[in-house]
Amino acid sequence: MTRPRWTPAGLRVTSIVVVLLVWEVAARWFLNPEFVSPPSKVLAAFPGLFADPKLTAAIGVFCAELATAFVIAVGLGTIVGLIVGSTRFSYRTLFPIVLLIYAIPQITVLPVFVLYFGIGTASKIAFGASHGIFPIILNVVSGLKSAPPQHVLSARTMGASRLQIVRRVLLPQLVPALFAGMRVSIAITLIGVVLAELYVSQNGIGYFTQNFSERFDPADLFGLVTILAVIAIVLSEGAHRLELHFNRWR
Amino acid sequence: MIQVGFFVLFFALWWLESVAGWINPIIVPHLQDVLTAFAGVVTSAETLGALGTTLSTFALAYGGAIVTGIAVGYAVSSSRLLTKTYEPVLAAIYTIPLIIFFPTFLLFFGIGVKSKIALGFLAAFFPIALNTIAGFTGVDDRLRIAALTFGATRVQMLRRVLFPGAFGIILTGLRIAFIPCFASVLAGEIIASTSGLGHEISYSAAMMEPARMFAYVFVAIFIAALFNFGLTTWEARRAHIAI
Repeated sequence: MTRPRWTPAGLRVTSIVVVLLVWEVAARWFLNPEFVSPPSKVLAAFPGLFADPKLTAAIGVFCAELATAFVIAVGLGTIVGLIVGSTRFSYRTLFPIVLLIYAIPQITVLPVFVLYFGIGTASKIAFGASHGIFPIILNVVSGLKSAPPQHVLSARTMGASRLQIVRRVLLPQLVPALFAGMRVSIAITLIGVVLAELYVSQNGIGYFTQNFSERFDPADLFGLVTILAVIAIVLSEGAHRLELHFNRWR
Repeated sequence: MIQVGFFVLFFALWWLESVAGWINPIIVPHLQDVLTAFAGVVTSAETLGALGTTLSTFALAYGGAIVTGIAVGYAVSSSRLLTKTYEPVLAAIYTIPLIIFFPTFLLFFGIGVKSKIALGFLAAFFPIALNTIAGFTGVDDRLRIAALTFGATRVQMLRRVLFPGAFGIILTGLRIAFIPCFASVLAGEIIASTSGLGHEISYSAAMMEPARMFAYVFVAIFIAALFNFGLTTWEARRAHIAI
């Protein structure tokens, strides 16, 4: 009789099951139920979470904040990136300033955002967008820089107009760079929005995480956190697919 | 040079605004007030305590992540099966923004430093573990086999072959993990805490003392800039030696 051999997929599934079982046993019999919930209880809490119209509204608001912040980050980031990267002069003067601002750990200015934009959705959108804008700027600038100067020059020699150069030479370089930037951008826009939500929230997800914690209701809290994690995974996976799609022609 | 000019312009505009008083000082505090608050903040014992809390929290989180990250990375890279099984799992978890889990840490570890250590630890653990795996599995197989043939023990293999071969990539992992770890500790302190630099920032904001808040923000940015500067010069020197 031969010993059954482990495959990576089999071992992975087995270990995940083992972790869940250990968690279940530990949470059920050994740990304080006010602080930890076993996976079975978290699973059982989901219907209740989705049945609460205030909570589903909060998740909806969260998604709307995220979407708005992302659209602002991409739009504004593209414009700034085009301005910074379009001429040598603007690149030399503005790009160091962009890098300087990017180097500041943004979390330190979160209270400033709340001070300016209030405790409502505006501060979450602004803080999320302030995170997501940098990958867009950096990628648009590097996309413009990556267009080989010979191509621009030869297009010009053959009598291409300015518009034609932009459309036929620069844009094809720009699109893949933009999508690469968007993939990074969506992930850190999410971080920005979550940070702002957790910092202060009236009726968003931050309000509910705090509420569940104060009620010592770990099953609901874990459930909500799982929903957020799923949103994050779906977004990053989707952005990854999109990026692959737009890079395929290369 | 341009960056210095930008600073000068920024502060000149701010000073101009303070003198002219266009905007409500609650929104944009006067530059003079912030400077006064900054002087007060820098010289106060309170700040030293807050700084101590933040830095010790960071040191524990980062140090813990280095030890466990390298240990887990070594264990996972010790066989091909384990690498193929767990490397994708670690990489997948790394793509989830870990700040999402902070509320559960708060509930589990409490509002004290432990929840920040946990957040900072996780922020640093994944890049360190993933880079360690990449480093160890990237060591040339011929070197490994040669060492085995000469009868190298496990420890000798680790000390003489694997570590020297993977050192550069592991160090890169440590560098990548540094700033996210520090930012996570600050984030945790700003969101919910009882002490630390981040606590002082959010507390001054809640007390409607924007001048003090800005003073603490500048302290935090200064420390982060110092860390960044140290890392880049260290890395530049290392690159120089490597060449």
